[in-house]
Amino acid sequence: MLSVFELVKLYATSGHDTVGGGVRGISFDIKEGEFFTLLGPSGCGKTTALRSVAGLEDPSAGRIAIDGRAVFDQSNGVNLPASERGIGMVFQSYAVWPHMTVGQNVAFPLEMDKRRRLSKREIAKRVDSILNTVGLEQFSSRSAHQLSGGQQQRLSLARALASEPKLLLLDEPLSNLDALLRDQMRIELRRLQKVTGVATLYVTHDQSEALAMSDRIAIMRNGVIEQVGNPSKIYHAPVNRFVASFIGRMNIYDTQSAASNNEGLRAMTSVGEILASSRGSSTMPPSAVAIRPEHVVLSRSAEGPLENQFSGTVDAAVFCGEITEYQIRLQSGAVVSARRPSLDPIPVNADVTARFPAEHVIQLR
Amino acid sequence: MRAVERLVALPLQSFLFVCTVPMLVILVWTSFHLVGADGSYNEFSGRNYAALATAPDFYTALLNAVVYSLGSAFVAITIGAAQAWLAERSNAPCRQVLYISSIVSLGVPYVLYIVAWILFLGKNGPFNTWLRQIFGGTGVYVDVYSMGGMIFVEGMLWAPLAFLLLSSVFRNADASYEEAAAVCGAGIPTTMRRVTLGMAKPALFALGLLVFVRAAESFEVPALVGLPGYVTVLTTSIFKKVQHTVPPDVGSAAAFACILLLLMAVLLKLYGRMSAEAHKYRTITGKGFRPRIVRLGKWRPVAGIFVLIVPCITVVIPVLVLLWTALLPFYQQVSIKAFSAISLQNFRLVLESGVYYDTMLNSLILSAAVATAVVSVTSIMGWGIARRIAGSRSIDFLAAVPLAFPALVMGFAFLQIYLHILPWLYGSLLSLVLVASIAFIPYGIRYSQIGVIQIHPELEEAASLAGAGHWTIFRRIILPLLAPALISCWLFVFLLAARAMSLLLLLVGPDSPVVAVALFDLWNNGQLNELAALGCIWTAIMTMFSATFYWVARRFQLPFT
Repeated sequence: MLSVFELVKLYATSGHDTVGGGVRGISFDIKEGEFFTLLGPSGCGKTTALRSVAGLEDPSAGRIAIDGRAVFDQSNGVNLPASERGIGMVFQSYAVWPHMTVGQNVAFPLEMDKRRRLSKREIAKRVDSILNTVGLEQFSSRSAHQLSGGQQQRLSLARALASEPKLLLLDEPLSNLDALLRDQMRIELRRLQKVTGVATLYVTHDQSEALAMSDRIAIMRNGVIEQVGNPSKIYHAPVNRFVASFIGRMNIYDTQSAASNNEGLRAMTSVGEILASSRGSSTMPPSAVAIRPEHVVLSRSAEGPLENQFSGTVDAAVFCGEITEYQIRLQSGAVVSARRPSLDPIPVNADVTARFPAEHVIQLR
Repeated sequence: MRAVERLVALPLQSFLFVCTVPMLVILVWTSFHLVGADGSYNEFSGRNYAALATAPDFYTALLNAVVYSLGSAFVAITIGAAQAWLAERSNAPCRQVLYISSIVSLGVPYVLYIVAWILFLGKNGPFNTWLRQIFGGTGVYVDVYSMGGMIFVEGMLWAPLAFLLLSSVFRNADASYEEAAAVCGAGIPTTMRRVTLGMAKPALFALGLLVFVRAAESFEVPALVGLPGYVTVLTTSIFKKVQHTVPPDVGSAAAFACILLLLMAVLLKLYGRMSAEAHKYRTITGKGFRPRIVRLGKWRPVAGIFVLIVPCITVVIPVLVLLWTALLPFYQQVSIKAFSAISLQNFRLVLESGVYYDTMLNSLILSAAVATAVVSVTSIMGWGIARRIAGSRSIDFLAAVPLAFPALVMGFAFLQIYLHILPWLYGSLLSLVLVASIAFIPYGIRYSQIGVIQIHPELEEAASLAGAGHWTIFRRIILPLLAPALISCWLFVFLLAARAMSLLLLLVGPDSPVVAVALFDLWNNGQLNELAALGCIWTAIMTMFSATFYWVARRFQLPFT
């Protein structure tokens, strides 16, 4: 549905620009009906990429095609203006026009639709139905600036979806909402996307949003894509140190040397020798191995010298409700974070052993 | 805290009461009395109003005022909005010229500006001469002494102000509203019409109403352009009754003034509502806020011509006409023969004459005194209103009273006060300082109020917790932070006072000449060349002040209107 190839957009003033550092040759494809997220810290170029797709920025190089039609192609000078790309977009500030009513806001893209030339009655019908979908049907004749933040958000989405675009762009749409509303809208947004089946490009810096909503996620840093994959893959099999530490919590240990055999990989680290049974993502020896805190198994009695088992003491225990987080200082001096259910808590300063199940040890590039 | 607030509020309330209420009372009082030839009040009567209701010239004046004000507002807003959009949101060439010309025009006294236009568009002025050369004939193609001429000159007077105000509207508009329209499939013309203009509409209407009010109470253009063409509006009717009628028809003038005052009060109230309406469109903005520049493409040269023509009309032509007039011994057409007569004789006359020197000195003293008085009084009032202390609403209300007074009407009211209550003040420079200070209190308050709003109350609270008393907080925390606002307020009031003509016209005496009124008198006496020379010198001095003012205001993000 959307194909972005070797897209480049660099800004002359590097350093203190507000837009971000630009993008340096990124490629990705979005399939029909897919929810695709660009995730990364601020300044990683995700918004620049989205605005380039929308036609609001002029890229320096590359190719963008929507539904098989090239909308930007630097090699043969194609650059369609935003108004002719046939997309829907939700802005971070919603950009709900305050001088129009809710209904007029939604009707605007339909009035602009030159291909279909809808009659007034058809437009009114379509407005009603889309407002119904987002639950704003009773606000149709209300002035748009009287709406609350969450309602403006819905209106913005309704407007973006009104002309049934092939592609929907969402630019950090939830960042202006308070926490509770954000959780509701996250579910609502995903539901609407599923119902309409529109291919969606979503930009956010919030990893939990990305994990909860996306079919696939592209992690970006400094204008390049670090990894693309479904949420589970991104979470469980990060390819490098940046992705591993950006998504969720992770214990990462540098490997000093490593050797492979049929069991898996044996890596020498500051903690000791760690065995990783899962296959690495590349044939190169990993620069580090890592394990998620929830995969570290803590026990108060040592069970003999088993593989990947290290003894230490509890430095700190933080009660977080259903789980408790522990900070363990190992005998080697290294620190391990571990999480386990809050039943049967372990006191601070208690001696424990931490086991890293070999199947959960991740190899990082 | 409340006790302290009352301690601050009470003197302020009484002070404002003494400043504003007497002029209102004396006006109403006068309007309900028959006034004798010697100015004494005779019997109480409603006859002044009854006479107005049956006089046809009252309705003509009213209708003329409405047409004239509407026309001026339309001209000013159309030109100002087009300039502002080009300057802020397009890539038109030479955009900076617009700002420079607006600053210069803020420093030119109205009278001078109007005189330049009359000379340029007059029967024998260059404009009609050119038209005769192009189209042949000997007739007058453009008659400046007409309703059309009044609307054009007044509209051009307000265009720079409209431009400066609207450029901030366009500058602060979030581009994502327009981007959203583009994504929805709207091209640039549709986006402009439906979104840019649509969103600016409340601001445009509010500003249009403001120019309407200012035009309705204006006196300079109606007097200089309208009276010779027998087009009378409400302010010139009052002036004629006081100055051109023997004996002065004071009672009837007061009745006229009261009606005009009522009209102004209603319109200003409406304006207050409309500008509040314009502000409600401010919504959440994303962190990626940036204004969007529209690329004009093939229209860029056309826009460039427009950008250059308007400053030509508002600044270059008037200044050139004045310079030309100032350099000649008597006024004549631009010609080779006239060039040989050019000399600095008029400038020498103005600079060497003790009268003009005193007049300019007087104007500078008056303006500085008024600015200082207004700033010192309003800094405390502005703080009180912004922090909503007890009694702040009545302070706010009383301080706004002078706004409703057209300058000429206020001068007229104070003429009555000086004649009947304070005769020893009449004709002195101090009397002018007093009137002008009261007239410009509202502007001072607006500045200090905006200045205080920019200071977070927690800064004061922190000082309070550190052990500072109220006076120490005001002196050590508020005043230093408020300084930029107060400096630009001082300069703004200085410029207003230096320009004030109709406010002081009825009040100046032989010992207290001021430049703006002197220019008006020179025009009426036909001393054109001296007028032009004095005007050129004065404009140069004032432009230095207005440039400083603009720089300060822009530097500290304060309003410059």
